[in-house]
Amino acid sequence: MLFNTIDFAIFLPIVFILYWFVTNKSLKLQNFLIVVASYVFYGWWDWRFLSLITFSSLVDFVIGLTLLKENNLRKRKYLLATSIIINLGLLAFFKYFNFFIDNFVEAFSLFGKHLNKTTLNIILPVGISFYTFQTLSYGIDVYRKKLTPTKDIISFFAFVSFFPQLVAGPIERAANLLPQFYKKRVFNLADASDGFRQILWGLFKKIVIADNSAVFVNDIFLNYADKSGPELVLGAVFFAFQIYSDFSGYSDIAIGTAKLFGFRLMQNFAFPYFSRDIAEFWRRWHISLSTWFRDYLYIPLGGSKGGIKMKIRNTFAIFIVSGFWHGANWTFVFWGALNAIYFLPLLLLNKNRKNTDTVAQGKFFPNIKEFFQVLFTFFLTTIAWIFFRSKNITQAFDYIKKMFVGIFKSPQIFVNHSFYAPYFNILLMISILIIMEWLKRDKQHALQFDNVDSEKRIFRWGAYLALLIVIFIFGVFDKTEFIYFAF
Amino acid sequence: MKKFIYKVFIFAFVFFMSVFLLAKITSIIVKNRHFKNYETESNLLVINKNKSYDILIAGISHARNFSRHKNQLRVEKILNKSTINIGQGGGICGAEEQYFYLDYFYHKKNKTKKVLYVLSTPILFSQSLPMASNTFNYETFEFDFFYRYLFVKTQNKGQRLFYYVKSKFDKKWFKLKPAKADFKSDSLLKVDTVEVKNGQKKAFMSEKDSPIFRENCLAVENTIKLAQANNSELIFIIPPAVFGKWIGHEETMAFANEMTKKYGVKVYDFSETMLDPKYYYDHHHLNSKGVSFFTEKYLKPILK
Repeated sequence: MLFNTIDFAIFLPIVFILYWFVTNKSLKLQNFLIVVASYVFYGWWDWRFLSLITFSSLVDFVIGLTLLKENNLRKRKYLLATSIIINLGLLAFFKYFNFFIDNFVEAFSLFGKHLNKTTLNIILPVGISFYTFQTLSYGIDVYRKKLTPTKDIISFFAFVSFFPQLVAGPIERAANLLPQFYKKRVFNLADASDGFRQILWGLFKKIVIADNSAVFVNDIFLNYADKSGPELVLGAVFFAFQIYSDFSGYSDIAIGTAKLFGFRLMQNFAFPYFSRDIAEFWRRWHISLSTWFRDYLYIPLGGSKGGIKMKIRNTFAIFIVSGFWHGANWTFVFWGALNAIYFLPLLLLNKNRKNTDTVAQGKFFPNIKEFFQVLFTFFLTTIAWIFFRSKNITQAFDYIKKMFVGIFKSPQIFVNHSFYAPYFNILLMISILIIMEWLKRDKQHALQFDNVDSEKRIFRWGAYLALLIVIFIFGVFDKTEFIYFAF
Repeated sequence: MKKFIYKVFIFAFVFFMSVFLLAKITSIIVKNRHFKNYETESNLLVINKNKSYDILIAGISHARNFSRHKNQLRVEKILNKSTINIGQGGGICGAEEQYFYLDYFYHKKNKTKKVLYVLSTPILFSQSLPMASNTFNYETFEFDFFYRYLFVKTQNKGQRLFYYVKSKFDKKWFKLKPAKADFKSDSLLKVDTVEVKNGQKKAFMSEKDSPIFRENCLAVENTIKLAQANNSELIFIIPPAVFGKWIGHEETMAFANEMTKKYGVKVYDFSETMLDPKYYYDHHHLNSKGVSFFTEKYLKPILK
């Protein structure tokens, strides 16, 4: 089920009412309802893959309990390895099987050996990368004795399949989410209202910004050879906003929905396009994945400790694996490597933690330096996104070359107002996004209010109403999937 | 909790009312451009209250063709009768929605002596016509139309209603103006058998015993009942095509004949009456010359 469909608009109130009015007397019943609702939510897409989540959940639940009783280090290692092999094995099969076969055959052909290629028609189960990482982290944390494994199977199944974040994150850690299933939930009006606003903002980002940008992005990237330099610039910029709005929009809806049920999920995006350097960008972009890789890959590899070689190796490892996580294509690997190249100078010069606060904190406008830092970081990120969006690396380089050559050939197009005419609506919507998010850049989302002043209620309601009308008028409602469903 | 639900309800109510109000405002703006039946494909722009007509023409594009390009003026002159055309072309409207338009026509206390139902074979077979979500995109927003349609049992209702309202904020809607075409003079130069074959294939996506066929037949049957309940005589005509009979012609005729037995509906099969390409602008749509010729030669005698 997609968040941006009428199905979800019907599903959510039904589950909400059952949750707070029918099952509210029993915590177990509430958790059971979450499991059922989550399985319906997931099964709406393809019920056959429910067996995969069930299997994955069962494996880690049993391994968790076995780890609790087992003190022998060797046996504990075997148990952890079993969990990792099963989880990553499923991920590798469903997501990377054809990619490896293709590359294996191509590699052999370089040496004159021509092998018969046997690829399988494998459907990628939605969200597999997300819930696999969630169950993996549970197994690892239990192994490290950082987390006491749960004996409550319903809570565990609810933790793995929790429908707001099941298919596209945030990738929750068991230490944060699982204990919330043990505690009685009390309805909190302020949280629910905030959740509702966050859903509204997420829908705006997804339906208005991402899906409208997609129309231009698809056309520009498909026909990039016939486009002018300035058009290619717009294509790249629109994609930067498309992917941000699509993914952070999903996260906002997920976090907002969880709030309606009394859960707190971690912030996944902290206004990353207002970052002053790449290190800050990566602290603000897809936080749940970045911190996952930090805790379960980067730090175990030695992190930023050790010599220069180790720093370089670890940085490349984390960024390349992160790229590969996004999809079975060399473009993602290159995108990851490029970000590693961006990041390394900061790390080696020990400047990677220079900007840990919010840009222009306490001020309305950034200073000139901050402004250009933000602009330059956005430029670097946008160049990297071109690799992410292109079909292959050659196309990405070609796109970039054409873009720069085109800009120098006909820079005057940028000041020709008729050039922007077809893009007027989407540029206007992106401007609203930037302004709203800039104003709330120290908050969790753009519609968060710390002190809801009842005197200004009419204005706030007017603003929400206007936003919803904008979504209705300018939104794209043809069941477009979220980009990150494919990851 | 109650406060939250109460707030959500109030918000939802205010939202829907605001959207309906804005949709109504844009509709009034467009309606004030005063469309004539032959200047638009929209029905709500021309269905008024308490009007009487001699003939109401219903069906898909083959029906609408009797009003497009000012053909309506020619038809009315030849027949010496007043007409209103509620046929919907462009592959956006099926039998169920044709029923609904006629129902709305009567609901507005309008009258017609005869309903000329252009029973094109695709209206009974097509899978895509009942699923179109843009059926009402060029209709003015009328709350009673919206409300009545809410309770109609039809396919893809939610999407259709959603886009009915949403389209009232579209650039295309704001730009809608009376069509100025006077005469459709294009003529088909020759019959392209491959195109005919492909076109027929496209139009027939369901089998004669499929649920779609049965549902469409039921919708047409309900239309007969509705017309008769409102003292209108419903007449079926099978429109001509340059290739003669459509695939599914036999089933269409069998259904029409069954309706004759059940309700006494008159059926006229004109499918093979005009095989000269000069009367068509494509393989099954009459040009203005074709419409005049057909009206004079075939419609006039049966609509006396």
